[in-house]
Amino acid sequence: MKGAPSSSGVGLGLGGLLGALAPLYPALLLLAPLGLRFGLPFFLGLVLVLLRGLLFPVPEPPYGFRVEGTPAVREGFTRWEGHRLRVKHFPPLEDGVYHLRGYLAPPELRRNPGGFDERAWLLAQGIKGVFHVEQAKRLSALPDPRTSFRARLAEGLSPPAKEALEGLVLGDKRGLEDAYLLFQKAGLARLLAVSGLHLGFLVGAVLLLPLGRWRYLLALALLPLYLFLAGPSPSLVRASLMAGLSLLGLFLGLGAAGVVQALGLALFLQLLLRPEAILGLGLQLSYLAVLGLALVLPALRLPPGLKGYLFGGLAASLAVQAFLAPLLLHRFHLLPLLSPLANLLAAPVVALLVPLGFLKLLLGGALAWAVEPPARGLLFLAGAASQGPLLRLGEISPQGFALYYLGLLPPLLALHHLLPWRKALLLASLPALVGLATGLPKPVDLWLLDVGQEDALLARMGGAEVLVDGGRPEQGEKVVRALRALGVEALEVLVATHPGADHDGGLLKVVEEVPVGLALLSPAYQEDHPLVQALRAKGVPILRPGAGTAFRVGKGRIQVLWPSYLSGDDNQDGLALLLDLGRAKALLLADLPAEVEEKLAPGPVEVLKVSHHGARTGTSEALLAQARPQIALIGVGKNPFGHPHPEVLERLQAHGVKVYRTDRMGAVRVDLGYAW
Amino acid sequence: MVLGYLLAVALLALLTLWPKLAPRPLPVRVEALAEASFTPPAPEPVSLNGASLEELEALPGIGPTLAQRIVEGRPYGTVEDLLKVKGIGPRTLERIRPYVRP
Repeated sequence: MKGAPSSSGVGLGLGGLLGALAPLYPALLLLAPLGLRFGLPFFLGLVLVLLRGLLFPVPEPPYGFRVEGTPAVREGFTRWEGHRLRVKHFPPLEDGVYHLRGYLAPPELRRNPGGFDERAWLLAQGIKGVFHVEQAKRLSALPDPRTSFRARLAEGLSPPAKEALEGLVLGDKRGLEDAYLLFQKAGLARLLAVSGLHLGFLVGAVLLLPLGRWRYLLALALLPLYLFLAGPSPSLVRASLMAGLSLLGLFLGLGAAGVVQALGLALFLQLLLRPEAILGLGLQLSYLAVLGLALVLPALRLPPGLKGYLFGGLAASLAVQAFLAPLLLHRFHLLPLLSPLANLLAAPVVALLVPLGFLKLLLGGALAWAVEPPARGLLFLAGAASQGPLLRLGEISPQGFALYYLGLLPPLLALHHLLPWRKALLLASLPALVGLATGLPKPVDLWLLDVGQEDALLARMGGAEVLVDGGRPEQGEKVVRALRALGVEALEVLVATHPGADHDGGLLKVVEEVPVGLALLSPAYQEDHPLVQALRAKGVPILRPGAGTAFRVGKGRIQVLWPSYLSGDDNQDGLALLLDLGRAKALLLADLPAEVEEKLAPGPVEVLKVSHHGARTGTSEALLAQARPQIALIGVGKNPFGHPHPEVLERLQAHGVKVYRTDRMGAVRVDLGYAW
Repeated sequence: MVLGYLLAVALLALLTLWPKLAPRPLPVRVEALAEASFTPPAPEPVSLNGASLEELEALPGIGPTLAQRIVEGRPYGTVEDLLKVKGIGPRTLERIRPYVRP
């Protein structure tokens, strides 16, 4: 590195970043001329990473191929003919050697807003295939060389302290479960991803030893050991690369590499190894956090002593928060506002626990007395801080990200005295104003969510949202996540069309998590129904409307078309709704049979939510002739009833209706523009 | 530099606001999140003579009792021989035919 221009690491990193992103978004190559500033290293990074990705892409296994064999399964993954595969089996397979039979399939795409994108998650790890196991027989256990270390780490600790320590020292979150949510809501979740913070505390503790320059070598030797014990997560690899470069420089007497330089070089190396790694959330968070620290901290002049320590700690937390905020909001839809404070309080505890925990990996129970109280303290802190206020926001568009970081640029320049503060704030206010303006037009659309063989339909009516049904109880989480991802903070109206686990089960979770203005229930709901009780407990007004009721909601109207009278049959007494969304009308038919359909007089509509998942009991000729829909939505999943029935599909086709079904397409959105 | 910054902000503003403000001729547009392109391969036929009780029970329309009777009625030369088993009629046979072999 000697003699190279001072920005060569940054250039390599930026070039590598562009090279990794270009195959995904070719338009980004238009930005390449901006790299002229960095000269040769930038183009070297760009070309090398781009070629690495294009010439040696992740190989695609033969999808649909039947596989039988006796592979070793480790942490849910296995190898087959040179391909790494994710193993899918219910319940998940423990580590071991198995006799497996099944077939290969591509990873699943996101099926709902805010849903899990298996393809991106696996691609970031260099995996393109999923092994669906139909038959598994365990042959033998797989010895994990790390078991004895783990046992020594856990020795003598109470279960909660043990789980917290496993998360903190090894990044193993499996035991934490509910406590992990607390860490997330407290803004402390990054403590549970082993990264530079941990490595820093560990290396810092070693560097305190009076060993002269050999302490650098000792610290250097710890890096591979830690990688082996905690596993090569992207953040730990990043931190190890950077720390390795700096320690090597120190040992050789060259001085520490500049943080930004080392960061760029580490990014280049990691992307050269696997360009797809850029899709991984861990990698993104890790690099952004360090970038925030590296750009902000050196520009500050800290007062000496304890005051300086506190101020510096708070500034570091804020810098990390500022760089991660849009990414955290985009992925988790919540941002703990107390996070900088909680991190400041947690820092000394973590600084104590990480070296102690590492020693305990080697020494075992002898250290339990010293580890238990701080681990308890950390859990208490997470619990307390998780009660703090949260900022919630839905998914952020790429333009939104670009605007945010553009807005961050002028204050950063001002911090480094490259721009007067007044000018910087003025410039930064422009992207902020644009961001606010883009939030003003409210979307008008219908989302039929994919919740399996069930219905869940969200209507956004220009500033007010209506949720009609919510799938089975186990789907509630999915519905809530979709609401969060779409930026729905509260529901104006919640509708449960008829009692039945496949329509109202998931609503219990929704009522628990999301504020509701008014609940419309079918008259078939008794007072002792769990949903009614949950609504009463939250103080939500309940209405059991009949035909003829109508409301204005947002920029649209809801009209109740059924029931006119009660028959005693839950399906037949369901609510039929007509939504007027301005640009289009939608008829929602719950699980109503054909006898009821004939009595409705909806008039012409654009969108029809087909009754009863496309059962032959509904969607009659008479209804189609009257309503003349252009689009039919069917909420349907794998089912033994043969829904949607071929007769129904034929009738729809004969009327020229375009059919959209959630089992084939995932969530379906009917886009009706925007309202002011 | 400032000019470039202003240009970038203006460009992004245009990109985000235009789709929300532009009048659209089509009243209704539908988009699906994930278009399925993969259908899992047909399950391998189960051997009537070699399969375990569990494998037989996994067949459509076959419960523990019928599975037990199928095992007791071994061996089978053809799939049609299943009709000899008490409780399996032509309808059940047609349902499980794609999933079994002798």
